Amino acid sequence: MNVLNSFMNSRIWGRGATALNPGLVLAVVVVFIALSFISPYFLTATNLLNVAKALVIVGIAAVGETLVIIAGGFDLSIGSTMAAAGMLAAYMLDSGFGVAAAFCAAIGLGMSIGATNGVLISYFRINPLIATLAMLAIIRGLAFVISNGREIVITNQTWLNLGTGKLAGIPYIVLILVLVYLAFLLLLPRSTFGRYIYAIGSNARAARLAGISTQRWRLLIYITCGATAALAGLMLAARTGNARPAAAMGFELDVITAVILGGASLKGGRGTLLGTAIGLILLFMINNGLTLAQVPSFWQQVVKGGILLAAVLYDELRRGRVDDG
Amino acid sequence: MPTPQSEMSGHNPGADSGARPPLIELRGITKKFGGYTALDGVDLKIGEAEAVGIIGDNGAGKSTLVKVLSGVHRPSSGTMLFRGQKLTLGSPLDARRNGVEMIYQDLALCEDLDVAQNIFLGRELKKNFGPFRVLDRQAMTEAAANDIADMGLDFDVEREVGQLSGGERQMVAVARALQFDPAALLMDEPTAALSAEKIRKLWEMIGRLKQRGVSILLVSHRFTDILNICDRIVVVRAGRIAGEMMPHELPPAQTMAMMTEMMTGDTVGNGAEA
Amino acid sequence: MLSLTSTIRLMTKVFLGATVLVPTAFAQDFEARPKGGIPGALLPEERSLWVYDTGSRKFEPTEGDASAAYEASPRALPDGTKVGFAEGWAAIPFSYAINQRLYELAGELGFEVVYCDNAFKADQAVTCAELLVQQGADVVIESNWQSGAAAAVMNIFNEAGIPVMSVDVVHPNAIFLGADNYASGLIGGQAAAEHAKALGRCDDVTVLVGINPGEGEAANERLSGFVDGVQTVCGALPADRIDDELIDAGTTDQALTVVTDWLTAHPGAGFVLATAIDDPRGFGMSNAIAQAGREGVAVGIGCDEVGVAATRVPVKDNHFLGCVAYFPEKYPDYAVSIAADILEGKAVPQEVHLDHVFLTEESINDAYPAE
Repeated sequence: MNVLNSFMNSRIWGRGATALNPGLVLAVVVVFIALSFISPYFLTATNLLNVAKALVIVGIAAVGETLVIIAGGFDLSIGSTMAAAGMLAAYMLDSGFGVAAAFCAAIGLGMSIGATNGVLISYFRINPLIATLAMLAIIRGLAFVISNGREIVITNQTWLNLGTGKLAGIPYIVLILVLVYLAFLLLLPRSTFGRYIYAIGSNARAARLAGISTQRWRLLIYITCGATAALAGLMLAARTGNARPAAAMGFELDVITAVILGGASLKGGRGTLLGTAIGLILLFMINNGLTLAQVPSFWQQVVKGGILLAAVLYDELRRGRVDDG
Repeated sequence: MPTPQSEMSGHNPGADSGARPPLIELRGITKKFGGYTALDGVDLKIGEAEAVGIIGDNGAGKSTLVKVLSGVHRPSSGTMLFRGQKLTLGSPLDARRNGVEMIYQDLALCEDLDVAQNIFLGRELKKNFGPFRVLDRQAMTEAAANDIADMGLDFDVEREVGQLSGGERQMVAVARALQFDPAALLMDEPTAALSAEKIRKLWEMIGRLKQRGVSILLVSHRFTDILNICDRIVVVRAGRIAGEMMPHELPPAQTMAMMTEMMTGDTVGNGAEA
Repeated sequence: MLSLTSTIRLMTKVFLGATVLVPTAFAQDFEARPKGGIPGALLPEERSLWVYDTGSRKFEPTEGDASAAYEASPRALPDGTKVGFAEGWAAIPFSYAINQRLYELAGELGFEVVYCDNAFKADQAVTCAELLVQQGADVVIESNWQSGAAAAVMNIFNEAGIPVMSVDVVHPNAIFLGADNYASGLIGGQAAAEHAKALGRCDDVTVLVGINPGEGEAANERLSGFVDGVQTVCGALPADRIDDELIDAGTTDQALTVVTDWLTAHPGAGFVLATAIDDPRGFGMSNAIAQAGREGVAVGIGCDEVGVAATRVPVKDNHFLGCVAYFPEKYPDYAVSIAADILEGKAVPQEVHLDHVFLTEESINDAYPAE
């Protein structure tokens, strides 16, 4: 137990707002080992790639959500944004536009949705839950409007190839996910953007008094979230081969689960993208492993909820002990 | 966001030619919140390397005054001069750019950020990284460690502020204010959360700052703070300057009596234009 | 107040009845004709026999007659066979009935099931396909009901060279096993119209169908069949007496909400005959009619647990006339029989359609005895 204790309290987890929850890392290790024993299919290269492919879409959307939550905000509109972005790109391709134009327009749509969220929250001071809940409904409606409620089957090979193609054995969508994470993992600790996300989430008034334009930075954070949601929507369509106005319904809950599991605080100021990534790995490893182990899907949900609770509870207890000590 | 506008003021300090203009001068500053007048035609000068204490009852206008000086509030009317030049402060950032630093009563620190990050918040040091300008974390950590050491303190600047004691946090706020060599330091109730020993340390530090030529404006409701630190005491009552006095020219007991009279508005008050 | 509103309602009805009844009074005879050429609803003469070619990893057409009804003969599969089962959505009764019977057969016949829940989600269906391949399924029963994802799902199985049969939604290069969509809708529509006719209301009917284009053209054929079925009994209806609403969440409560609003917007709808793609939605529609105090009935399609339970309740109480039985518990018998054919290299019709029966309060206990 001493070894375990020193492992859990080691400084390798980082400090302060960007510290990882060692309980989460331990859970990943334990689940990984357990699943390797439970199912002979789990611990194979193809299957681990399956896990990666399955988590790509939630994973990309989780980047923006992580930033928003660390900055003390919330975005419920990402599922709708994903659907609308996919619909717009598919519709534009059907109308004869090129794939580059369609993708740019889709990402642009996501950024506009994020900007609208940001203006409502930052300048009109509407509660983020309410503002993005309203946007969830509005954007979902617009996704239906784009195609009059019909789904569009994607025929563009470039787009489809993103969902099915590979480079050196690694699926493109997984590479895109890794690139997005690398970009933000490099950006956040080195940029004022990253620094101010934490400052605003920690104490927005202090940030403002320090001369930071919290309104403009918040706007930028929500725009980033809209952009990653739109990219996730494009990847979802690439993977399923169709764009549906009803796609990604309820996705925001998966995304938020991963972000919270990863250690981001709903009070703002704390969390890391690396934590989110580990949270995603845990969630999707469980999905994958329990299916391979032929666990009925209802029980899978119970297990997932239980693990989320355990990880968060552990973090609370550990922090409580540190604070009291 | 408006940028600070500096221009030569029409004021000609010819009458006392040769004397430098005061660091900060307020002329007829009025601040209204809706129908409520928080400041009503305030005139105030703060000289170079002068320590001015502002004292007054709750709601007298002390906090509003200091917020006008630090750029948090814009005055409804009146003029602010900085080294003789007219100055409009649109934000706390404008005040900082002009060398006016503020330490807020609640310290305005981000508890989830570490000491170095707080000290440089909003004014991060950067370096080149290929074609990009990125945060120079090492330079900031080292500079912050030096600041803390210079103040005769010893704690890890990579610790989260949320884990520091009240006194340590106060020192972080002071270190942040001093990092960029301010011309003036505004302090709102700096001793409210401190133990007696920490208060004495703070006074020592303020003494050293004065020697370095920094002007100090101290808002407090503790007489002892004011008496120990300030060259001049300004009493605010109902949004106006009720009077001024030089504490070192009078025995402390008499100063206190005068201050009390001016704050409450009883008898002697109005004549005491020192 | 009550008497005033009912008077107004009555007057409105009389007025609308007078204007609308005129054209329908001269209604022409109507002949139901299923559209040909729709995959998943191919007419018997349009179907071919298919054999799975492990070399090309494709079903190839072969000589022979595929128009006869397929006789299911579930039997033991080759030793060690793994049957992949991607369930449609474990949370709904229709799916659950298939699930239960499949595992029952697996126990009886001794094959292994590798399982994954598609959860009515396109991306989950793709993930499930990857997992079934990962576990070495030899043949797959694919209940992906998001038709847009069919190609993406099949890419995965084709690459792995696994023969697939798809349940109720057409997938490229897969044997279709499922409803005769048009025929099932037709008998549902005929039953509903006979009910209206018996009450002397044929002249006053409005048809409402709950659509969901996302479930594919074949599923939509149920609704076309229903509309045609009504008209074979009551005669051709004018266009303003046939309406549709999007009910895409696949739930009772969404159907209830949508139809309640529809009824509010159509006060002169007269005797409403409603249906949707399945029982839960049909049940939501009947609830809406009952709660709004309006006239009409809804029918369910599938006869899952919801449909059976609702059918047992007298129609005057819940306005649920009955359901078109799909016998989901029979699907696995067909599926296992087809799986045996495929693995034995035998030819299978490219589409296998199941028989449908309309069950009412009177007949429900024969098919599904009350416990």
